[in-house]
Amino acid sequence: MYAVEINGLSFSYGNKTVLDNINLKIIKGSFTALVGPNGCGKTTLLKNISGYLKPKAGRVVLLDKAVDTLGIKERARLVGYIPQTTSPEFNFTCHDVVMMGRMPFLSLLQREGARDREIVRESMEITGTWDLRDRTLDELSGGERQRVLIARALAQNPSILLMDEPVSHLDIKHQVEIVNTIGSLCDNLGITALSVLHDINLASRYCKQIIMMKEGTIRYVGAPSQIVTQASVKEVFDISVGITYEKDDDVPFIVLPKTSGKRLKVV
Amino acid sequence: MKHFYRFTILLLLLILTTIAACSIGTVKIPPAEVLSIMKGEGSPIYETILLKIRLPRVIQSAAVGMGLAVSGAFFQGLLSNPLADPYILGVSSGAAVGAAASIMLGLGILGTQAFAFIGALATIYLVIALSQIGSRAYAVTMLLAGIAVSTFLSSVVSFLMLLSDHKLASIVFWMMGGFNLISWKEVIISAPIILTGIIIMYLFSRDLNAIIMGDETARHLGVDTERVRRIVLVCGSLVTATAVSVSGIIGFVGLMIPHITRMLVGPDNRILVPYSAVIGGLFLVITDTVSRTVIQPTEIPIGIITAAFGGPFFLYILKTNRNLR
Repeated sequence: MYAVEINGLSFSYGNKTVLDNINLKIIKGSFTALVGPNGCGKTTLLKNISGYLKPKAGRVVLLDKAVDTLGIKERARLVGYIPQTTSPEFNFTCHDVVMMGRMPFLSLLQREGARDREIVRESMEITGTWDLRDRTLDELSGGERQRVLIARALAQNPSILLMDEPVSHLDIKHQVEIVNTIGSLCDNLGITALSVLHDINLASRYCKQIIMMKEGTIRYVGAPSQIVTQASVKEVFDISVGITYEKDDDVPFIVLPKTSGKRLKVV
Repeated sequence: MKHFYRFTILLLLLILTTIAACSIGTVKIPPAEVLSIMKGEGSPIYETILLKIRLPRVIQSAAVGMGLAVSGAFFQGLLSNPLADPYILGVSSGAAVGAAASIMLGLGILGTQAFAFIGALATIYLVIALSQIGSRAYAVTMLLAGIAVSTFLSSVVSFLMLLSDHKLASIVFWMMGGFNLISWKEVIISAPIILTGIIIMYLFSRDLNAIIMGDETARHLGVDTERVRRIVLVCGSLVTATAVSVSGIIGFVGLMIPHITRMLVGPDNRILVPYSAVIGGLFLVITDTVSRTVIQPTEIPIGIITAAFGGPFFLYILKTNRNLR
């Protein structure tokens, strides 16, 4: 069964076409990375999948339900979304932030109950943020904050988790930690995760599937060992790289090129 | 639970302050006399001063303080602008233009209400539209737009007042605010509208928490941000317009009170909003009492006092808030 099915999706901001005839199927419980150069439409694709943006053509089906037939609360019970930037103006505690993940389940007059608090606690324990519950979001390091936001998305009990560059400004240890957490959510809870990542090596190592996008279209979809090649990276990112493998392993590893002769002369 | 006790204490404090405010004034009514009037055994003169003049005035000032503070709290969150308040955004001036126009046309108190509401709502949408560049609204641009619109509308009010036979006193009333004209008639019409508006806004305080985290986040948490924005802006404008039509323009209450309350109870709007309401009420009851007692028998327009506190407070927020840089 597919968690995400996209047929003929196109989207434009005004006259500028951002997504052009996207077709995609993502298997339930898989962890997929979305890679591509800046401005190629990755974020726009995520927002079209979540229903935040309405496609100009085509349709998005999530677990057999067309996104445009779902109400905003129904969507929030199905899809957890972690945006690229969150700038809290007023300082909520981490517990308050994660509790916001229960909002799609509460009616206007309903208050959070014992069950909600239980789910919040579980979500925070899974992501290792329970000890941070009384700290405010702005007191945390980048890695901690990202894990709190994942906990909030988990509190939504989502079947699908969409993330926009969740590890971009983290150090290598925290990058691996966050990506591992996401991977274990897929393996253990059957959540389908789709995440924009910039580091192809990170994606190759930890994701089952990679989608390569360029100029609003999908160029390659498949297992890292099949699609991460010198040719595909050259085509999508316009850079010549080397590919190497560890012993007994088919995970491709990108080797960056040596400095080219075109460096600026320093006078 | 902690908040339940604190809030109850605060509420009691408001009630006690209200009673105290009734006994203070040009004519002093001793507390013992206030009690016997409450039992129905007081002297007729004191009873008239207390029940017909002071009590409606004090209740009105509490209601206006509550309404302005809650509107300010919601405007700040909704527009992601820590300096938003009905006065600074020009909503109060918009309401004043509406109210002044209806007074000129000789419409009754309900006409004044309706016109003030239209003026307030039109102004907030105008200021939001002016501060939008592309799809984003900028905090500082919004302040500038609000101040420009507000200044323009204030001159319109002054002009309208000069055209009609009203004397300078009524211009001062609209620009600086005051509760000196309040009788039970105003209270009975305005207080229920203000309280209803506050309650409706309060229902959306959890949604407001999510909206503060950003529109994108809120929508992905299942909050229909456009709908909430529409409802709250209409309610906030209604509350402000009602406040202005009975007591003129009283500035800075909606700015100061939510900030002070936030420092005390934190950012969660479900707690912040009720506390802001009570503290706002408390603030205006005290301020109004000061305004009618410091230089007896003259009354200082209450707006002078709120501005004396509010101006420096505005600069303080401007200087310390990192979202405005």
